[in-house]
Amino acid sequence: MMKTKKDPVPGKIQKELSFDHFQEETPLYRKNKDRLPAMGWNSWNAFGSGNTEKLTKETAERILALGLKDLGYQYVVLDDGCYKTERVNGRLSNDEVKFPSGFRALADHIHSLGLKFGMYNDVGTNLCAGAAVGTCGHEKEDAKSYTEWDVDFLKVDNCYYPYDNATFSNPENQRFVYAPNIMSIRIGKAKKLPAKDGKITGPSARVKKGGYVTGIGTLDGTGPGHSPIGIRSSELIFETESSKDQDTQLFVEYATDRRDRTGEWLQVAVNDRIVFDDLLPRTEDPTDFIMSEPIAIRLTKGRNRIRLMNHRRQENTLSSYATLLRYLMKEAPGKDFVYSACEWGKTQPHNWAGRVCDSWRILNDITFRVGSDGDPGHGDWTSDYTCSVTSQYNKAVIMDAFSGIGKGWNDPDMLMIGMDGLSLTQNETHMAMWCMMNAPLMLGLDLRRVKKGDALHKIIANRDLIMINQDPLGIQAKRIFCSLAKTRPDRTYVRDVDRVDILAKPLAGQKFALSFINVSEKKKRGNYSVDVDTLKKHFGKFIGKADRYKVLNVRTKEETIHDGGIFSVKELPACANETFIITPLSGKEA
Amino acid sequence: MTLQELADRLLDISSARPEIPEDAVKRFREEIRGTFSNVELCKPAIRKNAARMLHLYLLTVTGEPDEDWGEYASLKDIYDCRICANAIAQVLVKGIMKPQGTGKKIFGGDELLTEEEASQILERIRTRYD
Repeated sequence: MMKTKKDPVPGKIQKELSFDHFQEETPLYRKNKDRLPAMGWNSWNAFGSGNTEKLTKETAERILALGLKDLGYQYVVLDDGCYKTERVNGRLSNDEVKFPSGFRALADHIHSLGLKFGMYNDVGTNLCAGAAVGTCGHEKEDAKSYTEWDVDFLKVDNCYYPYDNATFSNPENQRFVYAPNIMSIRIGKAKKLPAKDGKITGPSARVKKGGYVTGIGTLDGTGPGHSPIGIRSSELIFETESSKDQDTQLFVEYATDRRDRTGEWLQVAVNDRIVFDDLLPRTEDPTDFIMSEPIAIRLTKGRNRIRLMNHRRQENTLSSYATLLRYLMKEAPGKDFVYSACEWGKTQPHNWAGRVCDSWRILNDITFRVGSDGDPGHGDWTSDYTCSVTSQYNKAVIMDAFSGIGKGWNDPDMLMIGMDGLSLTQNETHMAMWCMMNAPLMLGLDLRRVKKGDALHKIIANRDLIMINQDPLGIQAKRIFCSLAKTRPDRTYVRDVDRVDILAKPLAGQKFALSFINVSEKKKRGNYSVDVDTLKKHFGKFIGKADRYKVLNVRTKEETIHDGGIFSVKELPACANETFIITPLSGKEA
Repeated sequence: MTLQELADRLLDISSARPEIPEDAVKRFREEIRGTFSNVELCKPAIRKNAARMLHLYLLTVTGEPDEDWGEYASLKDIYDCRICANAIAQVLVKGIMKPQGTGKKIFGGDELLTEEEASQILERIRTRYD
């Protein structure tokens, strides 16, 4: 457990970074957001902390030799394990054994090959592997360093984050991100209003025996237990009438804790104007209620809305990512770079990350068994936790509404293609899933093991799948059928893998891609079909309707002409997919 | 026992075995240096960092490949530490360290490594060569 020397307290949140402004579409600090999902290679799944300058250069050479650069793989990203474990004169510094030439020289080398160079850091005080070189409090000088090194891609993790109970952080930090238990409020000299009579929004808060409300905050999205859909934060709202415009006082009867979704930080908004946003004095225990000091509020004549809430989990994290971005944009105003948030979905980043980042991780890691030089690492198809292809897919597949050009991309973590534990069929489907879902395509294997034309190469170099992922419309596939979700297959969170999904993705020129996916480890037989009219209901003008269609199977490359607007698959082997690019044909073309 | 002391005792074991290549020991030292800061090495060892160090030793010195996590994939706290998870699973699977708690359902990564447990661990490492 990491404990800082002086326990820091989160600062004030700028209005533009606050919860009520999350949905604003303008990216902050003029960050360029008009990009498709990033493609490249990241060292973590391939080599873990054991990546070196030599391995990186060899990987870059292999990207060229395998023709991957021409397919769009351009970013070569150094993940954790490349820095000295302590700062040198306050600055980031290369591990001189693993990266003897330094990062600028390596960046220059990568650039000379026509590739782009990426690095890694963390919004906390330390990196996840422990090095005391996190950007927290060092954003200005770290932005200078990344600019000096001409970095094109920055992946930023969330370990040791001091303003939440993140991985390796003090678990008591949750005091910042949950409100205290609330028993009642009192406005001026009026009677107390019991908390249980207020309106609770969102899934986190509830009324406890004893009549108080607990759990006012944002659900932790790191694990696979919660759907990402809908309101993920809870507030306690009171509606009150006032006979006139008046200045008065609000008192809150509360009790604090530092665990079990009870904290010490309260936010109060009256008619959507924040009037309080701070720690409250600690109480003896979470049911030892006391009355707060008065909070000055202004009521308007008529109906007033008082919100008791805590959105600091999201706001603190956004603020930290924004601070680093602000310094990066200041150091290199014209520099175009990819900013990849790796806070594991903890703070429901799909709600806010589009303001600053190009992609956001949606869950904890896809594998905890990364490779090393000589060891390919291990990946799984299924897992009870996040460490599998299907764990990540199950969540990302219903998040299409959150992504797009100008917004950013859901990131179900790096590809595990090439790791032990996954069959050829599973690797094929892993690639198809990620391409259909507009996920960043970051390879995570030792490319020295791949030969041009071999089975792995055929998967990662599948031009048609990559074209689906990089289609200029930038529309993530929608799940239009799920054998385990009778209603709203596009929004229902299904973790049972014994099912078949059908994904549909509009492509430029009124083409579309269909992917029939057997998520289970058993063969499936049935009449899995899609008709164009259903697609047009979902996607409107983006789907072309015709009497005949050209159908390309992206795996076999077989092309057929299909009459009518119904597309079916009758049988899918275990973990297999059949993915097609479908082009409507006019009478002339047919 | 500090983490550095644990490393020193592991190196003592390998130095008493002439069949262990010098390169392997050198690689272990390099891995320690690249993995743990001086601050961490000087602190009393906690179980998860001990697991990481032992895992490095198994990989570099005794040359043992990783194994399937088996039953330890369902430990309640196995996923608490992404950096440590595999190391913890490996030292458990290989019998170097033991789980804790009622029903042996947790690892207890943030608990201090006791002298007694350290002695047991080092004995298990020593006898792996026999």
